Amino acid sequence: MARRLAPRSSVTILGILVSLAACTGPSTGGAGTQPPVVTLHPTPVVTPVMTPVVVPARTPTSDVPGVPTLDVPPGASLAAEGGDPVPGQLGSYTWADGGSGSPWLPGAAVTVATGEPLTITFAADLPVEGWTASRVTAGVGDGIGAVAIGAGQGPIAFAAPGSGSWSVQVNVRFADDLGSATYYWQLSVR
Amino acid sequence: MTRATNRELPRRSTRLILTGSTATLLIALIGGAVSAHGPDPTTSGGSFGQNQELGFRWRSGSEPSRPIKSAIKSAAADVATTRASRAATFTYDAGGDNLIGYGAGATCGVNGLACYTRSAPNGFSMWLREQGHVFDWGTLKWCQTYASPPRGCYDAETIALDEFGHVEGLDHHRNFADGSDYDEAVVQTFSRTKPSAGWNMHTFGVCDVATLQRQYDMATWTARYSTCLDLSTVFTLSASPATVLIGGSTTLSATLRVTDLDSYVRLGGNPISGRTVTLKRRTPGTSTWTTVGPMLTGSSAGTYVMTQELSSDQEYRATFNSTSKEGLRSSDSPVVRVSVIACHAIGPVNGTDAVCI
Repeated sequence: MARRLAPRSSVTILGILVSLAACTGPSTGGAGTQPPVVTLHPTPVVTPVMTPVVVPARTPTSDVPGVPTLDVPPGASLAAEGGDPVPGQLGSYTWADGGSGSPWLPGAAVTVATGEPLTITFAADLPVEGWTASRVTAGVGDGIGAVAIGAGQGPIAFAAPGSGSWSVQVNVRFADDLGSATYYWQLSVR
Repeated sequence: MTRATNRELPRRSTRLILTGSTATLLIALIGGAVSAHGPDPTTSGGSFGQNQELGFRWRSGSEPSRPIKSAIKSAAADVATTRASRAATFTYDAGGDNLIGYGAGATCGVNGLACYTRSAPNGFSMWLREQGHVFDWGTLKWCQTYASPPRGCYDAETIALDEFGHVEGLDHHRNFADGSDYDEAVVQTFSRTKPSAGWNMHTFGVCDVATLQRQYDMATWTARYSTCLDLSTVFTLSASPATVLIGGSTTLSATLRVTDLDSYVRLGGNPISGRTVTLKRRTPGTSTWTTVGPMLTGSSAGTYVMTQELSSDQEYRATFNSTSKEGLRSSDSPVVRVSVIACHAIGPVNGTDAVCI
């Protein structure tokens, strides 16, 4: 059974909405006033500054047709609109008949703009049951003072936090009891 | 039980960004947020047997150092003393089938402090990384290997307890975003170091216990349900006889149980013993209930009894008031009416009720 890669739909929806917004322009300003000022969103800058750690997914075998069983969770990549996907660091996970425990990791480095829509995609085509995204100030260990920046089911998409350097954790629970996994990126937000 | 999640939304600097962010938020809201602060999720693969004893030994050639061995054994003891359920237990046994290793052979992925495999109900394995292992993010320090544990060390007993929790079938707890409920589970998505809150938990947290109770059942019917649960309860109440002569007596019998729902897994339908169940009464046609008093423990699990002498018709109900000490909801029994009759003599009907003759 073929499964659609969940995050693609969110990318599409975001793309449509962003395009519509770009076409309609801002709502402020009218007859007799200054022409509307269109504030262009800066070109997304996605700059990997360190070698991302990608845990390879091994041989898929499964009793469930179409759902590969991996020894480890699939690699996850974060991307901004128009930017190259940046693989994240894999933290704690439970997968198949095992799992691994990690600390709050620094994350793979990415540079984005404030409020920029970010999406997560996976190396394997697996359904997502639910996810949360949180951030802490980069360099603050142990996830102290974490703040939610997104949560949902299915496609993973959230907005970049305010300017600063953030360690972002995305916790994903995959559907069909496949397991859960935590991924990290270090966002440099301008 | 009130549940809430903390959520901060980023500020948007331009209309275009606002639109994109709103879309993101809409997607999240339409999808529905992942609930937090409930019992730990479960992993796939099923559970071990109730109270199954799992013996473990050190993996040949990968034995832990003495302080780590001690920490792992302590964690196994922590399981036994804090599982508050019929979950499996772990005991060191030189002939045990289950291997625990330590060191460079650990198959914990690139960033793992520790890891496990499980094959319920047959067995499990566990690994802890060695002291001084160099990760991309730093060098591993086990607190137990120091006379004075430094800041930034990991407590091996806590980490091993986390792994034992996974072996039981617990997946990572879903915290509030700010981690304020970190101490409600040992089985966490990320481990903490000394001196951050929760770095040295040596007991299962309430949300670990909640899932252990659901999957393995209560140790006794008087045991407390985890406060991380929110279980509805249900009463039955009967009076025998339901009709008495003036001045005669009847015995009210109540049975208190956990509501039998599939989502409660093993807990559904459990009798609830050892709680305070209060009997109340009112005159038929009135609305004010008067407390009669606490009912006595009955002869079977979950039952409570009280005998009443009556001079007029009465309605009764039993009440269970929940406390903050456990995860059960309050409930009231259905109302039972006891009729009083005045006559010279009575005769039994069906062995229970009475009629004038």
